[in-house]
Amino acid sequence: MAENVQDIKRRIKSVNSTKQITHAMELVASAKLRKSRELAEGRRPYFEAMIESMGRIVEKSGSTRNVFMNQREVKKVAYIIITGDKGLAGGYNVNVAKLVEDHVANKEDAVIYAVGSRGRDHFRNRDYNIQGEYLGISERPNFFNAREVTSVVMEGFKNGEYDEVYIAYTKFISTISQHAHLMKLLPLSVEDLKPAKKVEVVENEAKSKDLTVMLYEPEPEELLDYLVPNFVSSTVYGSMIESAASEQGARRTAMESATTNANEMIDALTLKFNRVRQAAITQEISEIVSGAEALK
Amino acid sequence: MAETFRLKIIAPTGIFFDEDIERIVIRGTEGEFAVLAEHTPLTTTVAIGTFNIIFGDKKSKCGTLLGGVATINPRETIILTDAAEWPEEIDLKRAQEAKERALQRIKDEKYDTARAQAALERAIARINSKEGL
Repeated sequence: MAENVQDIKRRIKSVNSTKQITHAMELVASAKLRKSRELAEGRRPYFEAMIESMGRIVEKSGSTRNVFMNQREVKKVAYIIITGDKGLAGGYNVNVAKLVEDHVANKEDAVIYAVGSRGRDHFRNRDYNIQGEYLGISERPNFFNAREVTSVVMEGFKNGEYDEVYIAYTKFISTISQHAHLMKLLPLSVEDLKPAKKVEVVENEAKSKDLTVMLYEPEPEELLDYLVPNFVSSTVYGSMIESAASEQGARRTAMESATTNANEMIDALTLKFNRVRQAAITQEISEIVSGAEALK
Repeated sequence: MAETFRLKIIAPTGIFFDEDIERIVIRGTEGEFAVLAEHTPLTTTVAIGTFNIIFGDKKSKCGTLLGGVATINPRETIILTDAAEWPEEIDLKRAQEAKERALQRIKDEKYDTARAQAALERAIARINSKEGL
């Protein structure tokens, strides 16, 4: 046994203190995860009511003069990339970045809006065109952050800087499972709005004649001008919240396995420590015995 | 007792208000209006301003709405708003500071006038609702 008892003792100590850190991070992540999940739940009623009224208006006005609903020939594409500001969350940040990289057909035609410093650094190091960065909001996004990002992107879309906008975020499936996900944000697909509406029409017709006499003030088109940006903001907000929850979930899982690994390592080291100590004692005894024997 | 209807105020962060009421007075973009039960179906935009709810037992409650869309049906009204607040949640000092700041920014070329204007309206609505108590 080459290793010295002191060295092993020191290593056990250092692994143990790392374990304490990872364990604390795991606990913090679970607490934050719970909060993020509550936020994600709270958003749902607004989003559903929003889709409902948009569907109704789109149906009513019939037209899609709205600039955000018109498909154009795709030349340039913008990506909103939602990652965390911090690492130590397993594959959380990398998965999103990889997904976008795989989707980008041509680096020159891609415009990046990065939410979270991890995503920004990743794409900056690879010489992508980063037009906007929003740092420090990943962990606790609020609606106004989402709206800020959205208004910048919508302006760019309106001015024809790019013809499609995608959003890359991490879908929260369960506390132990999260998936990176890429979704088209703009232009809005009118078809997507309609099916949700149809169910509701049936319901409404059964209830009353509401739908036929609904008045609009101002005109439906103007109402859409208000609703569309909010709809998009709400989608972006939802993605941000889900990503925040996923980040905590990913971090919790990563830290949990780190803690387990540290425990295993400590066990292995303790075993080794005991063996080395035992060997040293045995050696000492045999030295004394043979010394005494020689004196006889 | 007068007829009541359901009012739901929904903000992006969650359901803000969901109760049966008798009347609500809101500031729309086209002017102030009141909604009673059996109102004609109407969808309209809501401006930044205060609202006043009167319950069936004549008790009233007021708050602030920061813009949105109201969908009014005879038995139910849904207001989708960017944000809603009760007066007790508003920090008067902060609102006043925000007002001052917005006033300065409107004059200053550096800032986006439209945004400063919106901030000013929000601050004024908050102060009004606080002082209206």
